[in-house]
Amino acid sequence: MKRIQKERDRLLRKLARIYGLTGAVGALLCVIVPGTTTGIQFAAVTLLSVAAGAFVFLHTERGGVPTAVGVVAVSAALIGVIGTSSALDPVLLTALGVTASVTAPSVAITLVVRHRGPSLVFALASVILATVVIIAVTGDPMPAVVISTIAGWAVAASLALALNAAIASASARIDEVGRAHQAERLASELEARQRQDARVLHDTVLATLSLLAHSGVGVGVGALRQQAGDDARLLKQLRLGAPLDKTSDAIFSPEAEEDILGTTFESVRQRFARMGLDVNWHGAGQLTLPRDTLDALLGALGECLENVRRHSGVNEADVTVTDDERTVRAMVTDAGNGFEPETVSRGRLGYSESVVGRLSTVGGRARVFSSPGSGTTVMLEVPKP
Amino acid sequence: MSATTTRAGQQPFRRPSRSALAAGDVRERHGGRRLATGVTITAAIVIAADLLRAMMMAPFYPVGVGPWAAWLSLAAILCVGVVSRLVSRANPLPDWLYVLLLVALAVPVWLDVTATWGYLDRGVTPTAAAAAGAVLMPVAAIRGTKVPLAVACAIGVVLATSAFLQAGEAGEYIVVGLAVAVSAVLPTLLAVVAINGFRSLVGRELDLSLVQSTVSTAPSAVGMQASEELAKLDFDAETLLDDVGSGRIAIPLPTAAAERAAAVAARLRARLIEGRTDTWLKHAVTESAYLSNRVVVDDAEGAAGLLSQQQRDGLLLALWLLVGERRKAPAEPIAVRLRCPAIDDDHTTPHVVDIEIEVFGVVLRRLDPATWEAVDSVGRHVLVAEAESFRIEIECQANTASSASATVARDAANPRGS
Repeated sequence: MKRIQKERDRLLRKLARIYGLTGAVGALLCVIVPGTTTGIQFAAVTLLSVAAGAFVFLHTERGGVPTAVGVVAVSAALIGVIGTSSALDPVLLTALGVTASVTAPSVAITLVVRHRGPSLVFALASVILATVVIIAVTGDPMPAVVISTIAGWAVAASLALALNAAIASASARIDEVGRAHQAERLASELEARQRQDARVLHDTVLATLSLLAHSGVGVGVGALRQQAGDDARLLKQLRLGAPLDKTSDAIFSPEAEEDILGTTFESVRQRFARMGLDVNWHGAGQLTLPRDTLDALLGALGECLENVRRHSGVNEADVTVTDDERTVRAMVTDAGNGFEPETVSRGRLGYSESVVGRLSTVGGRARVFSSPGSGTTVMLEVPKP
Repeated sequence: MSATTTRAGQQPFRRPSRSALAAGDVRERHGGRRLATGVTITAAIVIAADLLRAMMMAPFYPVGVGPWAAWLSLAAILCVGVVSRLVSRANPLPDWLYVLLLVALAVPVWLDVTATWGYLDRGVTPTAAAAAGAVLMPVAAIRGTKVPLAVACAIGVVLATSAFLQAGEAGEYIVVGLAVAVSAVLPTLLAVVAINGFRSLVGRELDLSLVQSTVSTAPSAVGMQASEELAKLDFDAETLLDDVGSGRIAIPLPTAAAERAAAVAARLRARLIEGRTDTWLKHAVTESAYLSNRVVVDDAEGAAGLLSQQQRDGLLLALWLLVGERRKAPAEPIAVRLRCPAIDDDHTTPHVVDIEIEVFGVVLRRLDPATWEAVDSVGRHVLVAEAESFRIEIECQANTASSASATVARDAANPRGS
């Protein structure tokens, strides 16, 4: 069974419980009003009212036909016992009416939505109505009770059918909305992927933003302005999904794994040249690396160069790329101020997140060699596939 | 707990507007209209029964117009309500008219009570006043449920009071009077329970169906919230860079602009680096209105990404049903912990995922059996019951063959800085 139908049945049972227990409690309150019944009749009607309530409780706990039949049978018995009493006073008449029009019909709420439910409900309603009519014909003509019995069953059944129809209609629509949302998600995933794939672009954007965060001190105004303008243009291209020219294609999605290294190294070099740091390139220009690894290496490299630019006090750095069967190494060397690696806490976000973090996601690592006054060397290692 | 869970707490996820709109649509239109129609039919049955009773009782009214003044005024109110509803089909009724109609219901109630006053001992009870209670049923289906229910209760109280005040002469007939008072409230109460139940049921199911779309995503998918955030950060950066590039912001930068640049850079960096271990499960919890504050996911290794689609479905549904069984306001959220016990440095994909679900505020025996079906579709489970809570431990065989891309999963499962 579909889950939504289970939920529907649970709601219907709750409604049936409210309806049925109201009736059972009401009838019980009526029959224990002093002076209405005595002796054996009092015992019988009290017992039957309690039993009706118990059956309603059982039925609305788990559902099912047998307990529903129990509710109706006990109700019919209660109606019969009250109806055959010698003097039908208004209190007993009320108890009878409440049982016929509230307690017994409560099972219609849960039953009517079942397979062949309507005919079952009709049969049960006929039993109660027949009992009431027989009493009305043979004894007290109680038209109000007959009317409210019919109304009680009709109300219970129609409310349950309305709820059932509403839930069925909503359920169909929910499936549609779910599918539409799935499409929406796929589109958004695709967009996010494109953005994340543009890691080289984000690296230069981050570098430029860091410069701006330091108010752009130490960089030529014209160069910074041009760099910012270029980055803004590329971000806009990314946002609009416009067709890309060849160089920016490399920046957006470095897909070709071989020839790309030279191009992207070149773009890193140009970026730092514009900001006043000359990067000298040594060693391998072509490396076959998986895209993730390449991105991580280039990103870490960019961060190292940014640190050189900002802290070393020199305007020149060397990058040496070497490789053997298992690893690719990139060494960033400067002849600047240097520092005592121990004094810089490992937790500083810039280095640990952007260099160590990037490399370790692809299984690589970084080591720093430096001492005050004798420059700094950072060794970046990533594994080959 | 990682930063992502706290962020989810601070910033509630907002769905893309189209999905949100469609979601509201289901509740208001598709099912809601049918329910309103059905409730109106039910109300009509109640009113018809009351009218029949009035017809039968009319001869017993000693003098005057009998119950008809009250019924005519009720009919007039109904006419105004129905006609204005038809006229303003698309828009809801203006509030002032709504309030006016509700207040006007006092007229038939008052007319009915005064017409029957003093005749309870002959079995003459209010009829139109009870019908006025039923009139509120469709109102509850169309507008909020609280006000109609309150008005129905007020009518019930008035009828009960009038019955008590006549207790002296009426004797045993007071029971009949009280029964009529209850009959004025009961139909509306039922309708309100049905309508509220329907609305929350649809809301829950809808939320689940929207969140289920996370199940089929790739192991390292970014999630809608993250991708929204990334787009926004990119746009912020673009705006700032463009302002600098075009000279609208001077160099050196003013402090405010520099701080803005620092903030955007920090968030963008965090967004690009973190979130790689976020999986469909985290997205599902973040994006769901029902799960977001009630479930905490601890999955540092991104192990949820290793589960097959069927296992994901089962896990999500199990969490769903567990949350559904929670009592009103337990302090502790349900905690889900996922671990790959056999994780080491050889480059193989882990085969086993251990899942622990620590559940607070749920009565074990009240759980829907479907919960265990769902749990079993994830893996073999062991149940550990404690005083205040219970724990479901699932040992789950990750189906490596079916996982969308094992290498990506492996990357996600291997956190940085380990």
